[in-house]
This record gives sequence, structure tokens and C-alpha cells, in this order.
Amino acid sequence: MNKEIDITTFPEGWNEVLKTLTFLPDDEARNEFLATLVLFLAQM
Amino acid sequence: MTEQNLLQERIQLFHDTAEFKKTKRIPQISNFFTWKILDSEFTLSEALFDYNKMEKVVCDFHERYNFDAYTDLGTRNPVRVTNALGGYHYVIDDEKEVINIDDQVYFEPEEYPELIENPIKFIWTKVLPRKYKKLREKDALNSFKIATYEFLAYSEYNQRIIEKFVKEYQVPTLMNMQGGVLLHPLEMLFNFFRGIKGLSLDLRRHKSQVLEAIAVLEKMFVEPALAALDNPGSPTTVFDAYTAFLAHSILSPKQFGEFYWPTLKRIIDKLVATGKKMYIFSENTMLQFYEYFQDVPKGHLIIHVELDDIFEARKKLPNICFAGGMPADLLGYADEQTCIDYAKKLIDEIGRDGGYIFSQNKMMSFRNDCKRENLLAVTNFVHNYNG
Repeated sequence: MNKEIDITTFPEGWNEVLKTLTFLPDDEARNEFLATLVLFLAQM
Repeated sequence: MTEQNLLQERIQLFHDTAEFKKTKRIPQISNFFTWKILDSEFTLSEALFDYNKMEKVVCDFHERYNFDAYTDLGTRNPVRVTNALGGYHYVIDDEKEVINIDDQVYFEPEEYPELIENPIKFIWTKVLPRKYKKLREKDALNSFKIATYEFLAYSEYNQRIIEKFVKEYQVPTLMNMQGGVLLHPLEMLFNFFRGIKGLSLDLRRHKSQVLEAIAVLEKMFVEPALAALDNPGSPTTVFDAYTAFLAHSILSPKQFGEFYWPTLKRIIDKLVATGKKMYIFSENTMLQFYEYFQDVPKGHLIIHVELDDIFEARKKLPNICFAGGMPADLLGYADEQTCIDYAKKLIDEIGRDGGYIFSQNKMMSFRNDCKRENLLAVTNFVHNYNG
């Protein structure tokens, strides 16, 4: 996955949900997870 | 033979077959999807909404038929995740025993520039709210939270079932789904964003924007997956990469050369340069484009054909390993001996010198696609037939 995606550019509030996922240690990990989730939801 | 040897034997069997080496038997891939559920004690809804039941479905299926690898282990239709967001595009009908999937059209041609500028942002802010109605409602944040946890539960099931098959059944994973999926950008437009009719019109009316979108999506999604091919392959996975041909069905051979082949050629070149193998499931027919594939070196592509005549495919493309060939029409309606006779013909005519993986000629989904006694007879025959 391309790592240049910035979750702060997306609608406010969504990244707070990802901060509750303790296995994602930092913004980079949350960023990558969101990109994976977004692509998954688009494809399914 | 030890259990560990069985896993390695299966992987080696697939690799040797893809490289056109003569093997002691023909490997078998299951191309069964929802038929597995119809062959179990559960309804479609019961299995699709309960991962423990789905696990029982796929494990019972393996213990009954003993395939060497599987295109699906119960993860094809993640309805728990999509339903959490109100995306009811999977329509399950337990009475008719079918799942219908709607054609997906989520943006208009004039929005191509937005997609091209930032694909992920466009998908996130435009496509997903249109696709999932709960993202448009007041409680969207809570729905997103539930969907996130459902996604984690789905991922956990996926990991658990793969591990169980590798460790307990010594069945390798067919393809590396984490980073190994090389979906062509045109497939993304076709399957997830513009639909069959929409993209068909775009190819003529908005050609330059489609080509631009392909370039941007390739950079974002395909290039990282290509870079991952420089890494060593997984020791429990058969093929290094996976893709599917669906959008090709709306293309002429000339359009295939314009819209599809350039990206696909870059993927194939990378496979060849890194000594890797890619499994392609080709819906509909692909032989109308056979000339593009004539110069692909042996040992890198495995194409699972659906409606193509696999005997003709072998003649036209002696450099490609083919999978499939066993007709659902026979498995569903003929008797056991007729099915065995056809399986023998497939192996004798196209599998003697490698380059052929036994499988079904379609995604097996409906009750009448197969009869249990026919599948038992055929899988047992292929497992024991030496050609």
C-alpha cells in the first residue's frame, strides 16, 4: 500500500475510532490500516 | 510421508506443473464458492453470518474432497462487514439458495478528475458514502466503528482458517492475499466504481480520462505490489501473485491493447524478472486476446479459464499453464462415469507433460452446479490417476 496517504485529510472523527485500536501504535500504522480498510470496503 | 512433507509435496507439485515438468499426478484446485455451503448442513445466511459455522463448512468440505488448494475458504462474501455499513449489495436468498450481487456504479464520468487527483480520498469521501447508506446517516461514526471491528473479526477468521489449513491439513494457501493481489486498474473501475455499462461508455466517450485514471491507480496500488515481488515468496503459499480478468469481457482486441495490456505487460515483466508466478482467474473468454500472451516465457502464468475451450487454449498458448476445464454442466447433471471419463480426457490430452491444473470451469455457486457423488468420484479419480 502506498504510504503517502494522510488520514488527517479525511473527515474529522473517523481517525478517533482507529485510535481505539491499541495494536496500531502510531499515525503511520493507523494510516496504513485505514487505507487497507477503505480499499477493502470499496472492493467488497 | 510426514505431514510436513505433504505440504511441501503439494507446493512442489504446483510449481512443477506450472513449469511444465511431468509430475506423478495432476494437482487439483477447488473453485467452489457458495456451493460448499449448499453441500453442508447450514443455509447460506447461517454460514455467512457465523464464522464458526463457515469454518465447519470449509473444513468438512476439505475432509470430504481433499483438494490440494482452494480459491476460497469462506471469505468471498464478507456480508457481516458490508451490512454493518448498510451496504446491502449482497442479496442473500436462502429459499432460492443464491447470492445476487448488484452492478456497482458509484461515480459519474465528470468525476474522473477527482478520482485522478487523489484516489483514496475520492473513494473515502465520495464512493463509500454512496455505497454504504449508514455512512450518510447521523450515527455514521458508530456504524464505522462497528464495521471496523467486523473487519477485524473477518481478518481474524481469514488468518485462522489459513493457519488451520496449512498446519492441520497441510494445504498451502493458493495465493498471497496480503500484497500479492495485482488487480488491474481497469478491473477496479469495472467491478467497483463504474459498472459494466458505465465503463463501456467511458472507454469511448472519456478515453483519455480512463487512461489517466489507470495510470494513477497503477501507481498507487499496482506498483507497491510489484515492488513486493522483490521479496522472497511465502513458504506456505503456492503462487506469488493473483489477479482476475473480468473487465476484459467488454474490450475488443484493439482496446485490450490500449487499456489493459500495458499494465499487464509490466506485471508480467516483473514476474519474469523476479522468477515469480501469478495465478489469473479469467471469467468469460480470453482466447480472443491470445496473441498478446504468445511470447510470455513458460513458468510464470497460470490462467484459470472459464468459458474458453481449454483444449484450444492449450494449442494456441503452449507457453501458459492452464487451470480449469471440468464442466459444471457435467458435475451437476451427468453420471459419475461420464464425469470421470471427461476428467481422464482432460488429463490425457492437456496434462501429460505438465502445464495443467485440474479444476472446475466456473465459480461453483449454485445447487445444480454439482452433485456430491460426482465430485467425490472425480476428485478421487484425479488424485489417483497417473496418466
